[in-house]
Amino acid sequence: MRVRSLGALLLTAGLAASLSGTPAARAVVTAADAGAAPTTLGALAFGPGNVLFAADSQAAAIYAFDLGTAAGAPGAADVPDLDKKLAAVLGTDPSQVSISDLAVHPTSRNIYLAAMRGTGAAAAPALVRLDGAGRLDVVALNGLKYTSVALPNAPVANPQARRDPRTASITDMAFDNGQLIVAGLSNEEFSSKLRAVKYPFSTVDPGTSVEIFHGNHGAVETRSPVYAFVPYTVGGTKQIVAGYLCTPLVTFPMASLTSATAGAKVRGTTIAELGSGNRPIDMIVYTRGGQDYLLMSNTSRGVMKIPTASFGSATGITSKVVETTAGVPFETLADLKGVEHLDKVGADKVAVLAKADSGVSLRTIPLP
Amino acid sequence: MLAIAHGRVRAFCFYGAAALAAVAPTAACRRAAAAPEPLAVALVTPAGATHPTVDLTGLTDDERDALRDDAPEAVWEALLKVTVQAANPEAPPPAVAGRYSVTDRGIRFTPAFPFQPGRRYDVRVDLGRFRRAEPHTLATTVALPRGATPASEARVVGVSPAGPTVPENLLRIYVWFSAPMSREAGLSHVTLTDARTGVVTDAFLPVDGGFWNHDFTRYTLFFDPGRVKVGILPNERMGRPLIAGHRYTLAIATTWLDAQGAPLVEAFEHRFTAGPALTAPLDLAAWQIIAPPAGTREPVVLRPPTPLDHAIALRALGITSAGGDAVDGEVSLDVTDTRWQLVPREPWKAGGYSVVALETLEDPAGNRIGRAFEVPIDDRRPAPPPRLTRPFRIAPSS
Repeated sequence: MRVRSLGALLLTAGLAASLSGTPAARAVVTAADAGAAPTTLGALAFGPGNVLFAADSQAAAIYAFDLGTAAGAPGAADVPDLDKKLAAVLGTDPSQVSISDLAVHPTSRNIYLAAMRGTGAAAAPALVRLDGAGRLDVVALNGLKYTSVALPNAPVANPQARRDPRTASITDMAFDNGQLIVAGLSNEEFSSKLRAVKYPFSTVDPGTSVEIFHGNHGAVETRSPVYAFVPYTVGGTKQIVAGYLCTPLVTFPMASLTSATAGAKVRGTTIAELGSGNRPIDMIVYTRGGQDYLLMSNTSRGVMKIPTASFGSATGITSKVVETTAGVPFETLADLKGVEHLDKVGADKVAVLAKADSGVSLRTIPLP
Repeated sequence: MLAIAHGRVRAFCFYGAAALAAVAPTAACRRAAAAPEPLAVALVTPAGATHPTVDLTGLTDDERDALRDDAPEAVWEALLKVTVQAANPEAPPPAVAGRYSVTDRGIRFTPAFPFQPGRRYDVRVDLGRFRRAEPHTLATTVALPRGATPASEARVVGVSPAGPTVPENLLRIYVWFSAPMSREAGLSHVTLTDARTGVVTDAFLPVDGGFWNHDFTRYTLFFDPGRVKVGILPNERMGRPLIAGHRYTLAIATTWLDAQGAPLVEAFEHRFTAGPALTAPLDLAAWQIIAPPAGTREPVVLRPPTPLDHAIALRALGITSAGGDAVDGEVSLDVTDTRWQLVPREPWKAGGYSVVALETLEDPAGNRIGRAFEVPIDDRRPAPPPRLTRPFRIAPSS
């Protein structure tokens, strides 16, 4: 089959690492007072000030929207029938709306939802703010001041040839110490890259592949997608704690993403096997009673509460695990069912978006 | 129903469901007797706009002057509220999001997202903040014509690997469509059937929204890697989705909707047999390189002994000149994925060239050059470089 049209991603073609394989540090950065027109909205993460990072996977770009001081009533009310209310606000029915992520504003505590309205040619992204009065407001993206950065496209061996650009799905993002960490996978290679993107946007590293040992596998798992992660300090060293497909929980030093060897492979430490047939969706870290915990939602294994106390001393799993789970202890929270996305609300609460047969609900509950 | 031509679209105004005050109950668009102008609501496409707005007309100059475009949302919604028509009138939904503005005849509501054809929207008007005795309320329903049911135009034009035999540890199948599809994940429309044992359940990796290319004409079906990789629990419990020696049918139902919401023109079936697993790394040195004569634009052809991943091979292989410049041209791969070629834009010159393969190149089972998809724990060989080359020569034409 012959490759076809050039498509919209040509914008980023100049970023391709191309034949040299050298790091593509140059980045296509756009800055404007208005007029943002993302094609999709996926993962969300708050940055410094009132900046909200939003991933546009289809365009392989990340937006940093300046939300300004606009806010609704403080907090975010529970919405038991979120799918129906959100659809009504978007002028449609729930079958035409998909919610891809949520993020809690660090000061107003309003909840921002990333969604798509429509499924066909007319599908459009929607950023919606839920406030303490239960009001859902569509944030007009084209009226926000923003900067955006295009992620490097996949390396190509034939820079001039026509091709069908690979797309990348951005699975999770987190802002830490002046940089946005981005995890993504592609629609072609079965692999995962973690990238460190300095903010304000200027450069994008070429991405680091993190090798892990999958204890349920008995082999070096060189390539598997990261679905959720969180920056977290273990033993005085900033680490990335990452959840992979089939749920190995892996730590590796944050510095390995930004070191001079960026672009090379890094071997992570597998500290737990949390069960197969599953992928992580979201994770947060919180403190309760002087003890830190990781809270992680999953597609088929519920919400897990994992004490982090043993993360630093955990021996990496390097031999085959025959049980379903292994490594650092965890508990599955039986009363949290259907939870997909979650985010911390202040120091003692968590917003959870849960799906049930009756629909989608959003509520804020005490941290477990 | 009263249909009025207004603006550039044909606008429709339905009976008011709960017309109040002095608004005549038989037709919501009818003039309110005491108002200086009749209150009326219509769907209008303003000049220069691409989608209809809800226009309320019949406000007095004083009433319009009292309104500002930046008035609080609550003020506007009290005056003019648009909602998706609710199945249960006792639980009215929240207002449709949008922007309000003052026009030279009244108020305009521009929805944040275009009104959908065929969907009914309730409109409630209450000018109580301006008017007391005279009629000041209106309730009606507006809708864009449903339009013709979209005709089916899209069909599956092929899959990759397209050959009759695939390795049992196949990692992915690409499905090509003739036209852009909807954004939904496609697994519910795909059935994999083993001729011996029946439908293969949980064969593919479920992913929200799925893996589409940029224009929604190619979908990637990833086999669940937990079942493909040896030794992972799902593999040990359920086995691989494909078993060497078994025959399979990949069926795609017409229920998969295209970007216009229409089903596929026809169902699609692809039959194949699973062969032994591919577990060896790719070896560039084992490839046959067929070099054309200088002075021609005939293709240079690469013949790997086993198939390559179709999509990745199109971008991860190339030819460079002796100076290291990429040779510009048209790249293609045949249906067996074992014959890659580049037709140069300019005729070949005699001299040295190189085949360039990026380390991302894979076979259909995920094996890369110098590194198989599944690697033993004691394998500590360094990762291959990001770019590998193999030189060849183009001889002068005789």
